[in-house]
Amino acid sequence: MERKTDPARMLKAGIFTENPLLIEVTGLAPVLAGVSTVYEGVLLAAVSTLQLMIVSWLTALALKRLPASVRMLCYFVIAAPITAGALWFGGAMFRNEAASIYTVLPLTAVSSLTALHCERHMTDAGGGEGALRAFSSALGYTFAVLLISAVRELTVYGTLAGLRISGLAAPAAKLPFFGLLLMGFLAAAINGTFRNDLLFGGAEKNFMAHSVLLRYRQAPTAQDGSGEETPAAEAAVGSVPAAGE
Amino acid sequence: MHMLLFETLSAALAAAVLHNAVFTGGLGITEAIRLSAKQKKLWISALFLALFLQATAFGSYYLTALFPAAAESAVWRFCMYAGVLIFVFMLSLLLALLFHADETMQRRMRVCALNTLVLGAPYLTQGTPGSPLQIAGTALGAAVAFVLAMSLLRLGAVKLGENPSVPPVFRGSAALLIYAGILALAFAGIAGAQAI
Repeated sequence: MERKTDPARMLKAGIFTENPLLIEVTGLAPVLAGVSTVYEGVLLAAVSTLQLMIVSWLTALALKRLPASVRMLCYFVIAAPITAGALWFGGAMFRNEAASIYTVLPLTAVSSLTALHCERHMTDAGGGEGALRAFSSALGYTFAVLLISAVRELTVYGTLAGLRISGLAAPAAKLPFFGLLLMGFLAAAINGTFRNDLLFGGAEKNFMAHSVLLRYRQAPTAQDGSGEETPAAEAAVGSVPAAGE
Repeated sequence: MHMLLFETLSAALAAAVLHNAVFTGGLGITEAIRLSAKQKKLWISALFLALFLQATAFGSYYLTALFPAAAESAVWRFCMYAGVLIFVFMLSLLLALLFHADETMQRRMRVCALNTLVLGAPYLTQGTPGSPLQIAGTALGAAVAFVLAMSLLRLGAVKLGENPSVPPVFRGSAALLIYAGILALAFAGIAGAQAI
């Protein structure tokens, strides 16, 4: 039997079955608001990873002892200087991309990715397990962001990391609707690939407890017909702060 | 007087519908999805959001007037906005303690306070609007836009959850993201395909 803290299982969960962006639907705003090139995707992924690792470590170490309301403020206070540093560095290094960098990076300071991850996993985790969980989530977010930014760059500009690939360009794909549709189909691809883990297998309960869509998925359907919410399910939804997040 | 009212309302209408921050800018969409799953009294959230946005925008507006050189830099503008937001957040915690707000109300205030930065992102990139009336109107409109997005997402998500024809691989986040994408496409059409 696999242990919950098994590193391989945690990595697989972070990248695929509990992908923070595609399955758990966290940290969408920075991706949708301005990431349309691979460079922007790399910068966003790097800043998000840095914030996630630092804030997670501090939460496992000390912040978990604070009341939730103060902890939420601490996430922001810790993330804000990292964001400010990244804004300065990104603006200086990528002058051509400065406008979108100035749009995307401030959003990472209040990213739901960091706050939700910490509230969900770090308030009862030890240092080692916490670091591995944070790393697997960061890896999953990076994977999804890079994939989406590459497809968007190819669609919007016909280039990939600045190299001309195609003569076709669809500037409208820069708008959030394209990102959302892309994420939806990628999430379906993960569901299809890992269907034994996600939908039909023994891990369903685990997935459901972590899913933002718990309530929706428990609405009456032709399959179950009950629509009853279990106390455990209610607690799982209630315990996770909605935003800030 | 009529002109002042018109200026405020037109700014609010533009922020709520024409440039709906959630759907045409992608701002705060995670929070809109999450909150739509559990919020019942959406108008309270709208009220808090409008108040926090106004307080933060006015704070940044007057700080910009005091330190115009600093506001030229994106990094300083972010620091200024973040500083005002931290102050507003702490003030909200203090008020919650003073008025003995229950845990649900406190959580709602926290969520709205932090979403201020997400929904106020246009202020960070483009600076605060020209006049205090425009700030008031835009903040009100952004709050309405957020509540509108939550309501639309909730309506669709419930229908999707009840529909047995949705293929298993599209159930959950996949269907909801595609549904949000279609809504965003509709709003992009209204806005004339201009991203925020």
